[in-house]
Amino acid sequence: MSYAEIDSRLIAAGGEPDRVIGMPASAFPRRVSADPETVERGLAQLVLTLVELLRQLMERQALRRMDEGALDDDQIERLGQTFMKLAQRMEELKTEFGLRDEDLNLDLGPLGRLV
Amino acid sequence: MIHLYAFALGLRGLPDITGLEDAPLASQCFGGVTGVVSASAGGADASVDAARHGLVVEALVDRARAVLPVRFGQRFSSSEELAALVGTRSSSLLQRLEQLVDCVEIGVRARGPEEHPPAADATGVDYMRRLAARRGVVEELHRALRARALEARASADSVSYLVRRGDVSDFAKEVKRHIVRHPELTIVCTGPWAPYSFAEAE
Repeated sequence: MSYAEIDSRLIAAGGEPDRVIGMPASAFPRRVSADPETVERGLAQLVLTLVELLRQLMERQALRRMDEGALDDDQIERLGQTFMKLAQRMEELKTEFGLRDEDLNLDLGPLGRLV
Repeated sequence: MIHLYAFALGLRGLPDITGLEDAPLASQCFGGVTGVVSASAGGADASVDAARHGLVVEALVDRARAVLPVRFGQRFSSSEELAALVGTRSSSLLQRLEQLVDCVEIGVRARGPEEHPPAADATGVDYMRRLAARRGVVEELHRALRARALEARASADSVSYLVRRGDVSDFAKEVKRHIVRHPELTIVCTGPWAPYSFAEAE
């Protein structure tokens, strides 16, 4: 058993696997750059990554409650509007800071990516 | 200090690799359960040590009927301290190991297609329905895989499955069927791994 053998334990992959697994070159968590010109973007990237994680968790929780029949139509509409506005605002912030979807993630090495 | 890697049942000799800090591996018997350990001074690069810990555990999987991986970082001051801890839990360790005989862990991460910004005139209900539809195809995959596994543990967008070694091939075929049927999904299936997600013992 070697490191290479562990890396090769991929049984199957479809779609865009880079969205959910880290590439070997980035196996260790990235650092926020201390360069004054890029520190703002680095911090924005970190904050937006955490917001994205929370957004996804809240959406899952809302869908679970929908499935359980615990929400009436008005509540579903309000939740949907809230998540929609949050998604739109995230798009605006990503554009503002020059970030792409794949930037809003943290590589957790062997554990994969945060979101 | 003694670093503990895993407990094993029916261990057929130690793997031909070294442990943390290149220390030789050793086994310590506790009734029917074998603990695999090595001496460790500590203080080395934690990421290197964690990788080495994983390599040892994975190597044990091929040499034992069942392996119960121990969380990285379990250290004991002496063999006696380790024996005292195991002594109080030996029956639950043995019971869990027997449940894991010939089993491996398969990890599956699945995600719906990339989201696009919602249309400005979409209603909240439309948005929630689209989210539910996206989640539905992922759940269909996990329902099919759950039927082929003994146990499953979910976390975020990944699910770990406990699968009998002999069923891994059929499990993989099921994943590949879904990849073909749903090209819009991102699916990554890895393994077989030591059953880390199923290692809890009472």
